Amino acid sequence: MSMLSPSTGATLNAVAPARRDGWLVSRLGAESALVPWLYLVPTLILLALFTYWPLLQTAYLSLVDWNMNPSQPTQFVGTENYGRVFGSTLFQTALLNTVIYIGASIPLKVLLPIPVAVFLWSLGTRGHFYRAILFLPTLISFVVVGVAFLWILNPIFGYAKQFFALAGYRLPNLLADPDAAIWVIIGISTWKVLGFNMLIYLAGLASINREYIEAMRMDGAGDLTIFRRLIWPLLTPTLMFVMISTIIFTMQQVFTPIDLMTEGGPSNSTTNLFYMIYQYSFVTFDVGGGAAGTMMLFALLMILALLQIRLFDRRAHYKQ
Amino acid sequence: MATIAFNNICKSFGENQVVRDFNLTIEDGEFVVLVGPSGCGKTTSLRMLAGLEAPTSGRIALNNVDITDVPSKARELAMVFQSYALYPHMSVADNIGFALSLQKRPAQAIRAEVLAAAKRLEIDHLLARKPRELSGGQRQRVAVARAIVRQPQAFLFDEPLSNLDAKLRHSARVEIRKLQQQLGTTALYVTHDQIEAMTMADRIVVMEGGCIRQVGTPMELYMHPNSVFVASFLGAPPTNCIAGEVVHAAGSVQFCSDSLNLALHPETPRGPATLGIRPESLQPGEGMAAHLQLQGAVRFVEALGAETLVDLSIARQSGAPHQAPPTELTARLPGHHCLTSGDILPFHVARQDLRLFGSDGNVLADAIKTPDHAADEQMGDGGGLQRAVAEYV
Repeated sequence: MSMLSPSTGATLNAVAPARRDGWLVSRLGAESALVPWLYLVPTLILLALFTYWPLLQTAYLSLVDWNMNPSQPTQFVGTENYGRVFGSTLFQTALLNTVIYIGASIPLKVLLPIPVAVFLWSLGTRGHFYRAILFLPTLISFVVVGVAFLWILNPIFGYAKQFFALAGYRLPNLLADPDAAIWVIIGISTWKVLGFNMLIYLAGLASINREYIEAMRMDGAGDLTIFRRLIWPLLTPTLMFVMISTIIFTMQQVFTPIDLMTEGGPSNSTTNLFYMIYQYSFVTFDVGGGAAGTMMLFALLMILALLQIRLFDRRAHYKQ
Repeated sequence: MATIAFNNICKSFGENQVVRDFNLTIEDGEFVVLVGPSGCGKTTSLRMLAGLEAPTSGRIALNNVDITDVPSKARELAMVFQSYALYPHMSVADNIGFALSLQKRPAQAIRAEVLAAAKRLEIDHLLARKPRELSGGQRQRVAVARAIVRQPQAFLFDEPLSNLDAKLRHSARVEIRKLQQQLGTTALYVTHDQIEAMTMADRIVVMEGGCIRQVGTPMELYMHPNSVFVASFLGAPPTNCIAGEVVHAAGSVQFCSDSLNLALHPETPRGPATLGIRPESLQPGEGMAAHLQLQGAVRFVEALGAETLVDLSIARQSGAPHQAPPTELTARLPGHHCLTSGDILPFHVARQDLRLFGSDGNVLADAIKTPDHAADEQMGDGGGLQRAVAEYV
């Protein structure tokens, strides 16, 4: 009989479709309790390699004295690194600066983009141009931004100096002023992140049914009432996300402008905990001190995240 | 309670004109339904009355006061949206009482009014729930309660039943109508469902392409459609439309199609025309001599229990071109009929149940009346059609 004969075709069609499970799943049986874990293996390997192992290694390094020299053996010192770092002036200054960075980031980076987003949202398609303009800084590398602002704020030939001179004012050297330098860094990082957070809020606003707003208008509400009683409550899940991510990223993001523009100075006035850890670990090669700082920062972020969830998350309206 | 007047309202979105020269007066306490296919401008007209869209030109008046430029929050109108638009983060009680809270009423008074509205709509046991915890029918009731609690000048309904299943839709339209009659509040109701329009309205406004095609009571529109569009839009199954031509020949005037000839009034203008026959006007058997006689082959039978829909194929006349497809009609017969595909049956239609529409789609009112058939008209007086309409509704 020919291979292409109708009867052969009928036989082939009658065969049950082949299982598409992999060899291992076939061996284990689809109902095995191990099967779900098999699917999780790639993610678990990545998490273990790049998150949990470094965390454990850092916890271990925070308890030893080591200067990163492979030929020098590590020496167990217990919690001495924690006491030493915690008691240092650098840590106290960095902690205070971190609080300032976070404290300033909530009104500037978390709350300020909301009215901007609501305004652009109300413009509809006409707001796309402004949306693009406000989002552009997010696309520029922080190194480029840092260098550009260094030039702009240069006390000798910077554009800012010339601009102020035209208006009859003398611009002080902001980056050399311990009181002003941190606000320059905060201002630059706000300028850079505002467009990104605005975009996230716009996504949150887009999920609000426009008929709710129309219904509220019919009920007699004005713009302010609509914002207060409708948009704000429905935007709380987005607000929660923006707040958590902004606080975490603020600590990391400002590392670049700090390193590029002030190197933590003047007089450590712009150093935050991240930059302090960098200085301990990779400038003075005090690995134990850096690891102890990292563990304390980890604890601080955990506390902050828990606080946020306890205080704000239950007020968020996740379901519409 | 209010009278509403649309005066020469036009609305364009860019180049696209969606409402053209819309003129309508709604009397105090009247329930008016705007009906038409999607994109005909009915919802836009409603939204202009609500103040959610601004007319491009024309004026809107409420109780003879021009409200064209009055913001929607000051118009004292309540609207039930297609999606109900219940505030998702508020409880049912807060949703119903929201408008009252904006009026700075005392909390106790708000609670009492919310409870009264909820009891009226039998949702008082749901007051603590969030909208997401309600069924579609319950949400619709909450939306209506939110509208009535404000005691507005008029209710605006934007397809409020379109998300409900057929059974719930039937009971909901009865309840909305009863409620509106009890409250005596003027209502403007938008729907694309002609059954809702026929059953709920005091007056129906049929719209097409941004224009009003006909305004009248449901019976007026059903029995005396002024155009092919209205005739075919109202009624399910729709009116059978037979394309043909009015011919003046040898001293007589006739409507001629591939499958039938019909004597017309001598003053009927010549040219292309459409003959409209309601499915229930097609009666089985051979009627009186004056009736239009047809011979139809059964193509398909739909037994609906109380009635039977029969798809018929009317044979071509001897002179008709062979390539012309046979005329297909739907007959609506009361009760159950044992018919099978291929059965040949005689049908007749009383002349007064026929409608002739000219080439512009508008009715040729006197075309069907001929001196010879005046007696027949007096005898019939449209009784069959009236009975059919009553059954249908």
